[in-house]
Amino acid sequence: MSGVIIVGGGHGGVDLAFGLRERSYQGPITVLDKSDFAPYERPPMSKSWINGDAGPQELSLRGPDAFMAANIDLQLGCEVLGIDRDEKIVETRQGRFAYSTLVLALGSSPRQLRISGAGLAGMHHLHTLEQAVALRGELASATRVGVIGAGFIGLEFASSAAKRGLPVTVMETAARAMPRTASEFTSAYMRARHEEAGTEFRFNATVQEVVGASGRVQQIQLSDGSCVAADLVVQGVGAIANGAWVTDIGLDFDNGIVVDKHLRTRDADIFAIGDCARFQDDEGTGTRLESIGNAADHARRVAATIAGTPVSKPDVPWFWTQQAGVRLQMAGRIDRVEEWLLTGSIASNAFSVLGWRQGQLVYGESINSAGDHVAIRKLLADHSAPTLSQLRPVAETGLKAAVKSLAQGLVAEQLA
Amino acid sequence: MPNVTFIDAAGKSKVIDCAVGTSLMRSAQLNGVTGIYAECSGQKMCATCHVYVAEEFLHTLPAISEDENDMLDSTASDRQHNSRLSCAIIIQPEHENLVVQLPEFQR
Repeated sequence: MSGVIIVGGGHGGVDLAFGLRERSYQGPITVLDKSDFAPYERPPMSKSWINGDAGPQELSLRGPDAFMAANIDLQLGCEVLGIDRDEKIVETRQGRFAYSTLVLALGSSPRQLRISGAGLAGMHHLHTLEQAVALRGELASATRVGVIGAGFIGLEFASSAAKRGLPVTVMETAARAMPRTASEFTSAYMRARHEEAGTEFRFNATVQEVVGASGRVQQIQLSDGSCVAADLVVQGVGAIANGAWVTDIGLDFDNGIVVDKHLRTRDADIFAIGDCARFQDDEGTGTRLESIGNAADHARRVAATIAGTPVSKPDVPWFWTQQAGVRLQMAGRIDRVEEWLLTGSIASNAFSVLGWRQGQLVYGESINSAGDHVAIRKLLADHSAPTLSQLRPVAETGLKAAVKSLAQGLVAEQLA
Repeated sequence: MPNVTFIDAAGKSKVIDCAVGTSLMRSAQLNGVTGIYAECSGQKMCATCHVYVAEEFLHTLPAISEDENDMLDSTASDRQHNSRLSCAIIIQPEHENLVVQLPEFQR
């Protein structure tokens, strides 16, 4: 009997494999991953792990015995060469695998800068464990660090490098940090924290060329004519979905593998989940999200679909990052925000910024306020948030107090 | 390697070996304990590694931090006096034969 084949052993693929067993799926499960490392977790790679001395095994998502105990066949170093949808066969270097259901959990890959010198020694990406190992090896002897891109990966790495006492310069094409993934309040707050930690920023800075004699990076040439010296550079300029090759087997790809709201491709027996999937969101718009929360949510729902158990509602998208000693947690959809409202006070170093569309809450980010974050996720999931005009007059008291006082006011009104 | 017993909401138990110095959440994940999700990888940001700790071991645990406290207030199954996030429990030799119960829901 052919069972479920999962291509990709990242957070989504592994969650799906174990999620199937959790839902009493009895058929064979095989996870194919091209990496030689057993499935690992990525968040610590840019944070604690990069500055520590723990080995790659410290990042394992599950112990080797756990796969065996759950009767999940894990094939490492196993690259997919082709898929025959008529025969329902996945061809790999290790041989042919028959499937009844195929799940593509291919992840994404860092965008490459197409500039001269991008291939010099000392130029790094931080996406796979192989890359993290290489980067950590060179970080030990680095004297000046450059970071291209002020997104999550770039800033998390900048923070880790600054913690080692290294001079760090972050170069960003936009006018602020996290231009597409955080409000201006949060960008400004985070910039100040990074600067306090010793990191320098160069905004509105386009990288023109990477320069280095004897094959190693020495400086980054910016379009305004200035230069940033660095002997180690991390590029964090976004990611693109893997799996463009699915068009070869007649599936659709458009900035991600195109799937419906159930994560199914146009082939009913093939799903795509996580970073690589461009799915129909709650408003029917094609959307791609890059986060562990999204991969876990997709895995959970596809596991339930395959196992024939009740499928939960899509989770409210959520994300977190830790940089410069700050915990930043986001929930909802920043791309839908038209208006912002700060709750609490920035001076207290613990606040939330809420995003609104037509007066309704669609997004919120919380700085050092885990309780706020959980509250925002709940308000978004239940559609129970007050409107912008209700919240605005009491926003200064902080999110939780404001929501509570509004709820109490409502009860008092009803009693009167 | 202290032994720790996880008892799920249906009463089924699983005993695992935990390395001293590793969090209980991590040990559970490595050993494939069902019902510990740990979606934030142990940053005390998600409350999906909630456990109820057996009375006699409560005194062996570190104090509850503000972050953990916030998260415990928002667990999917009700918080009890012995609720903890398993990512905040770092296994020590005195945790030999520790028993924890899993909540019915983590999310």
